[in-house]
Amino acid sequence: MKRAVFFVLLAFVLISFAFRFETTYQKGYFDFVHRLEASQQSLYRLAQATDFSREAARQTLLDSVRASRRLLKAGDFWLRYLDPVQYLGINGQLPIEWETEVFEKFEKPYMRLGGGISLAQIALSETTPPEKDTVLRYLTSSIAATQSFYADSNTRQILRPEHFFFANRLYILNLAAIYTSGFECPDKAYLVTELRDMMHAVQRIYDWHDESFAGSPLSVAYRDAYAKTLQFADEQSDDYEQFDHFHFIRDHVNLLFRLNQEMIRRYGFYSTSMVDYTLSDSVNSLFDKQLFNGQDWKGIYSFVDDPQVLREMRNTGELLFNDPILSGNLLRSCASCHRPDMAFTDTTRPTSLLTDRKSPHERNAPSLLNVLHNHLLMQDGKHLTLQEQARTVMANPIEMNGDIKEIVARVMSCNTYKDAFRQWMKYTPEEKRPTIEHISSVISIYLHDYSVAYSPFDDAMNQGVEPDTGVIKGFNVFMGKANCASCHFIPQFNGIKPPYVNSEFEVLGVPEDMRYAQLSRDSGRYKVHPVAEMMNAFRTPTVRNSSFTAPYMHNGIMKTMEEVIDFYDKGGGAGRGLTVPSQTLAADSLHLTAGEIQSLLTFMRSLDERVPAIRQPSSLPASSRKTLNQRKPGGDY
Amino acid sequence: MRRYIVLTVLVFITLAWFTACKTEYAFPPDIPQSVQPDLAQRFKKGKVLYKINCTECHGIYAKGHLDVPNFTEYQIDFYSREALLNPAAHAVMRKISNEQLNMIILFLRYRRNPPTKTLRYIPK
Repeated sequence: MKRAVFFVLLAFVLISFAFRFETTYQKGYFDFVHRLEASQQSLYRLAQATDFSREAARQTLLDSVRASRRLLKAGDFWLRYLDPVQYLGINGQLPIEWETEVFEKFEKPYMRLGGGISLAQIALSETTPPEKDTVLRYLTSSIAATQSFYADSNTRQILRPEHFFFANRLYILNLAAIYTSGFECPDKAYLVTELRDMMHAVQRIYDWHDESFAGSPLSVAYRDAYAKTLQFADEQSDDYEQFDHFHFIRDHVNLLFRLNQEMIRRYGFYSTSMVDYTLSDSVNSLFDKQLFNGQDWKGIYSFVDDPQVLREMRNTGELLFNDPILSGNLLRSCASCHRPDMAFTDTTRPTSLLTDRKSPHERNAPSLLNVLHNHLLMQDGKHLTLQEQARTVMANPIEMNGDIKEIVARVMSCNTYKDAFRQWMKYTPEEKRPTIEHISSVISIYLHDYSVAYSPFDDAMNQGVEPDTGVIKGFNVFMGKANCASCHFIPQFNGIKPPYVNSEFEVLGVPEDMRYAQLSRDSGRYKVHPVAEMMNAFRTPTVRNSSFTAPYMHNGIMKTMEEVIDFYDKGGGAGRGLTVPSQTLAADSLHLTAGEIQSLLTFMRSLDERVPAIRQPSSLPASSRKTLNQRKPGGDY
Repeated sequence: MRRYIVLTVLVFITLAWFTACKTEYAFPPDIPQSVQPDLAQRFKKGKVLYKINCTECHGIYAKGHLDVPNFTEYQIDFYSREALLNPAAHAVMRKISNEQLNMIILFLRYRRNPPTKTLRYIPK
């Protein structure tokens, strides 16, 4: 009897195991995480046993590291999306990274310790043998981070189809901006083969998804487009310098993006992941200016939708932008340094002058074109919102030197302004009277018009117009050999990479002057966030409209784009022999040919946008205070 | 008789005055005194914004609707994250600026007597 009961129980247990409900998709995921974990553990054991002083032994280890990385890429689709923070432990780019996430803007930057396979690979590829402990530490980090992909928060999502389309969107964005630009590839010789492997692996994930979630299959059009994308990648040369980025993105990746967005909308899925916080579900092209939301451009008037009212606010913003009433001495307006006739920058001098109108400012006045496509503002990323930025410049003793209370009082002494702001008070019931926030918000509404213009290159991408061959060649150099796109990411060509939640900072080693005698004395991001890695780091600006926005770099020392390209070609400050601690730009030469430089310039000119006319009003509103009526539009300087 | 009327009026005024003076917020002691006035300003703005934009679905104080959070302490922590994360799913979140949202959360977090009983809310 006892034996019978035992067998019945045993049979029951076995049957329940055999019929354990598991979709192919789930199985694919868990198999992948298991394999990744096993591969990393054997890698760790191999590293422990390796004699780091012998080159041949290091080479064997390096080969295993590469194999492990290839395996990782098979599930990059999931890992990057499900847990971007832990992912840095597996495939970090720098040992220490500082991040300010847009959905936690009010927090201090977070320190993220990078580790994992790519860093181990970089360490092993260097000419001087690395410390064994360093490599072991990177691998330990990787093993630990992999564990989190067994956690509930991640595996719960695998049970349902929603995350799939958002993970797929991130994957598509990364195909354009990350995987092909060499941003995360330690050895570019393997870039194209790794890319192909990954794309084939993702096709298997697609199959599993369709098998497991019958309610939300990938559309036939999508599968078809993906097959063509694969074919395109398979037909490309193994040499990453030859990769045709232009047609890959325009004809394939962008189409995949559109089809995936259509599926998200058709199935009515919405994301609950922080990864998708700024991304729009309604745009159909990567090169749509609404792709991600950088700044709340309406500021305090966030609930205003009426286009007529927004138009009026914009016009008031235009007046205020040019009105020296916002400065302490009534001589200077926003337009003094961000000049309307010079694309909102000052092309006549490296850096603007201080309030004494003699001594130069430390930094170049950046153009305000496309300013809304930034999460952090100022070249050191000091400000989170455009409104805060405007307010701070008005009050800064060396810039506009105004007193905030006095500015509001002065503005309200002009009937035109007073009537307008009074009339709009109904949109801000939380405020009792007009404040500096109302003033800075209409200015940011004014600037919105200048962040939504398109360039010929956008037309080529959005409408399939075939551009000049020089543009295509230049774009391919930009994405490939010249390495530009590993910091200036598609589509804004600034330091915001998919999923577009964070502004990046880079240490380039820009010198004090063009003799390269010493490093620029400006400590950059360090002023805001004093940690060693941020010494001399600056926010990566956009490449768009570069024809209009000379001079370049944070201190405006480079007059032409040729000088800028030459600076990068020679490996930045460190490449010129300056001591630059933690330079994030490789110090070796890019070996660009004269032809490549020419096509790069052609490409960058195709990013010049059709910017709407920037006007300066001919007169300013009269004030009830006589002393204020001497103001000139735009100010004196 | 007159005396009684005067007295009643006086008592009434005193009571009204006390009610008006009673602060609606309770900041934790670790928030420095120097920033408290500014915080109180933001709290008041947050309350106005909440009343206008949120009460229709979330109710005022303990009165909530089923399946919509009424903001107990636990829910605020959860909500400030979750709601920020999927603005597409929320009518007001699509529009509101970060600054304004922060004021609302400040109001919810530091108001006196927040609801303690969680209405049924099942996170997706």
